[in-house]
Amino acid sequence: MASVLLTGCASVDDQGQRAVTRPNMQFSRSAIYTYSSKLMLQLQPGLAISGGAQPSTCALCR
Amino acid sequence: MIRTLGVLLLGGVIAMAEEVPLFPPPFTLEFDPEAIWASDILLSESRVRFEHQIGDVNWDASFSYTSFDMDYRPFTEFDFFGFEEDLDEDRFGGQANLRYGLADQLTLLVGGGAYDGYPDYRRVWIANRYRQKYDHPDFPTIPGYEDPDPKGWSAYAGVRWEYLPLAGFADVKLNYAADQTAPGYEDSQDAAGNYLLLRGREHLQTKGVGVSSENVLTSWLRSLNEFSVSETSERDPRFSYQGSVNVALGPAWTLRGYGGITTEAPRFDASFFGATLEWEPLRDFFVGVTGRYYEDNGEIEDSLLTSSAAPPLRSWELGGGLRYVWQRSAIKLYVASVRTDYDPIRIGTAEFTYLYSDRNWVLAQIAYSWQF
Repeated sequence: MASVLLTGCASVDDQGQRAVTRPNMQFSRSAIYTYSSKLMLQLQPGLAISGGAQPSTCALCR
Repeated sequence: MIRTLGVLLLGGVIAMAEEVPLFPPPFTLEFDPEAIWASDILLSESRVRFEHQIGDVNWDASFSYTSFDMDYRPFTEFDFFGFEEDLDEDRFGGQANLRYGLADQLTLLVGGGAYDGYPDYRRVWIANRYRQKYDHPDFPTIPGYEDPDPKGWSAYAGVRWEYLPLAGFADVKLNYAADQTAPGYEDSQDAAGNYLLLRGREHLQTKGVGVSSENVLTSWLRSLNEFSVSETSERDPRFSYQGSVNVALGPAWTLRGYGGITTEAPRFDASFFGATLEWEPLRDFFVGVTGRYYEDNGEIEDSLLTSSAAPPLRSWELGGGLRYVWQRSAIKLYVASVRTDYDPIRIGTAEFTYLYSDRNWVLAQIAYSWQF
């Protein structure tokens, strides 16, 4: 698993790079190419979250 | 003749430069409002984001506004003095991020943000329940109750390592967040048997670390693996994993899939997955369909009698979207139907029966981006 994550990347030629560098093939921060919803975090409290820590929402419930 | 040829060549170069700039413009401005509504709840979040690339430095700043509009409805079988109300609350937030190239393959990542307002609609509903119960307009305020003032801030720092040029990236981030919550309350007794209003913890700190690895695995496959662990005051650590793959199915077809799990002791478990299939029928015009599924086994209760903890939840989403890129501008539209389906309410959570009702939602997103 670790070897795939760290070293399992293919040597990609220029032709191949054109496919994987298409904007919709990237993991972008741009709102245009973001495929999630900020509001769904309110409905689904267990969604994994990238970035900084999020506000906690429970007091007596944990 | 030579002059005409020169003009044509120059015109061609200018036209090409207009369509495909050699260097991306340094500034980006984005506006991305979205809303989701059911028969008794309307939520919206709008964000303006500015990004600037200058040399080895990339920074962005954003401002967001979130609104919560709800028809509050008490569960009168348990809440004898509760009354219906229209709730209107909002939250303001800001976030800034900086990326600085420390070396050829190493980038520093730092950022932070702050917000003032409720974190989500459930906390607005729950806080109003406590307000009606302990600060009812027709009765004296119960000693120990305080009006909530939720707000908080967060910060992170980390590095991004490009360990294979254009094909392998690893990120490590340390996160910290401080939240002043709208606390919960419980009816109790002191040692002498007198009534005592117990107030939940108001100030929470969250510390976490996130690790991710992005890889170009083949000429048609890009993956992202994200793992995070965080610990919030008086709680056990929460572990989250999300794996994502983007697959170029053909020159005009792209499939984006993801799946993940979250777990927190003693017994919170969530899992989710989804996919988007995108087609480019005309150059720079995209059509996509998205499906997602989410489930968890309910929030963890540790209260004595009553609890605001959510029961187990399942949720489905099915939507469609369009995206059009025109020179340096781009616009995205997305509309989806969302269903939330909770398990039956437990007796200790009966006060929040209408909060945890099953609902059919409509989600609508718009995003506009301009590079200049």
